[in-house]
Amino acid sequence: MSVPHARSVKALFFLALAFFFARHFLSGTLFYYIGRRFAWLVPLAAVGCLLMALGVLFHRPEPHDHGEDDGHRHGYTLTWMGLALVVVPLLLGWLIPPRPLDSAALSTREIGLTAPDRVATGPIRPLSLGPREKNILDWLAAFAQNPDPQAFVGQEAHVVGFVYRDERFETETSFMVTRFAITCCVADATAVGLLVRWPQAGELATDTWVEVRGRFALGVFQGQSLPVLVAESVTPVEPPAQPYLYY
Amino acid sequence: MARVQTFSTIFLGIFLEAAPFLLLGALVAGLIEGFVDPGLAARVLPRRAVPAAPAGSLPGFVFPGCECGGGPVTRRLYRKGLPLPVGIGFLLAAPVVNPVVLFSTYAAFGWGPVLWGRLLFTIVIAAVVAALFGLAQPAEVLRPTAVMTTAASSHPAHPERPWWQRVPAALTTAADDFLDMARYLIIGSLLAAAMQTLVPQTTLLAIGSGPVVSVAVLMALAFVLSVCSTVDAFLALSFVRTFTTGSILAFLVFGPMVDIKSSLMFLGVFRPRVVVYLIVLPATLALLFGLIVNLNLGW
Repeated sequence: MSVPHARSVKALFFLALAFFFARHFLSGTLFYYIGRRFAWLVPLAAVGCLLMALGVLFHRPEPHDHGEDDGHRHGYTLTWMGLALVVVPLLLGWLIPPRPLDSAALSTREIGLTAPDRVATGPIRPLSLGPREKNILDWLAAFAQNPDPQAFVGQEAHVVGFVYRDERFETETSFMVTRFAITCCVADATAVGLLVRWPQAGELATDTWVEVRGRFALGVFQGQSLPVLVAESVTPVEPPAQPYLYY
Repeated sequence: MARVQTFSTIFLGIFLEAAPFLLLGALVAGLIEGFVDPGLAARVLPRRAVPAAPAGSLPGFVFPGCECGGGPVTRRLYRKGLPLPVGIGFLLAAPVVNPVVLFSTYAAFGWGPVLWGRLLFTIVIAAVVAALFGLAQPAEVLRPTAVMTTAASSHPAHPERPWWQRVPAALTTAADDFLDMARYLIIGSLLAAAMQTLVPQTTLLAIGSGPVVSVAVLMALAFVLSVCSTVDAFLALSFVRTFTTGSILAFLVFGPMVDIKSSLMFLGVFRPRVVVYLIVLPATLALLFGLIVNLNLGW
């Protein structure tokens, strides 16, 4: 069944979509969903939607009809079903408060203690970054370049991530400081983390954002020896404006 | 509740990344529909079968868009006397060989084998299928309505209207295109987000690491989802960690040529017997290329 007042409904839809794009861009919640590289397209899309809303309102259909099969594309007839589908993103965006991916997304995927392939073969950021500048992905890239975990013992690290734990390790005295890493958008997200030793780990709630300061020591996880961050301090922090790491 | 949150984040992630590209594609297609005379392509393209087959894949640069717009344009071109193989090459290749789709594929995958493989395999498959039609010279290919010339078809795009009236018309065409194609994008994104939220990666890996099975599965998915070629690369991202490169390429090459949407469109231009070939030939070639990529490790 076609929707009545289709022209006004279409115009209203494009206005709402323009608002949806603009709101995510201006509030910064856009970075909960997509990477930095093509974020600039979103405000342009908002402008495009405004233009289309105006175009639909000001368009006067031709007085003479071209006939059934003249090769022109004909106006798309908006049905209730079609309308219901296209408003799904607007409804979800409105009903479910924007939040970056968290440990719930890890129920279907493994968390990586090693760098993703592309980072392991060629680090994205220079390995020469100071220990206070390196993020979790930078550390994993450094581990991939130097297979001897002993080499990192005693090195200082300051990293920010959210708290994650599972049954694979002792949750009273250790946790994982975790970030999601993306290349394009959350559809390709992969989780990376560093194992942290911290006597009060049991008091930290899962998904809390923390800054961990400490030094690496040699640890063993699932039969593999790897650098483990021995925390000197674990401070709760605000989630960063860009919750994901990029590679 | 936590899963609903994850589902919503992944779904909106695909939508927010893809929608601007869908919008761009719709706007370009709408402006071309309003301002460019399709007779242009019929005039500049070669008419003999052999040079025409690869040439048919090129007008995508003049008439970009996804598989949705190809049918009507091809029908108009045939009425202007375009040779059969050129039209087939155009129908198969134009949804990929155009700036908007290459841009979105680059946005999703960067410079690399997926971008170049997609471009190369699409041109090769389109040229081979077009050349086969040119050499076989089958009789009675087109539906009668597709070749019927009407008075209206000799009109260029609304020449009598001044530009300030053509702009709202072009924007309306773009708006309708967007509403039409967004449905497929949204269904595809819902499915991709559900898969990522509910299916363990180990299960996906079990299916996606088979060199043959993975290609067949993603080709079938591309056919069913019918997602517009301007944004299918973003859906393919959901499979990068679990499926073979060959299967992702087959998804990106076969989907724009043949899916439920384009098969229906083929039926509007060609006779059913021809449509069968237009589905089977690209499917076979895409499967073959997917397998070649998977078995030649080092990609």
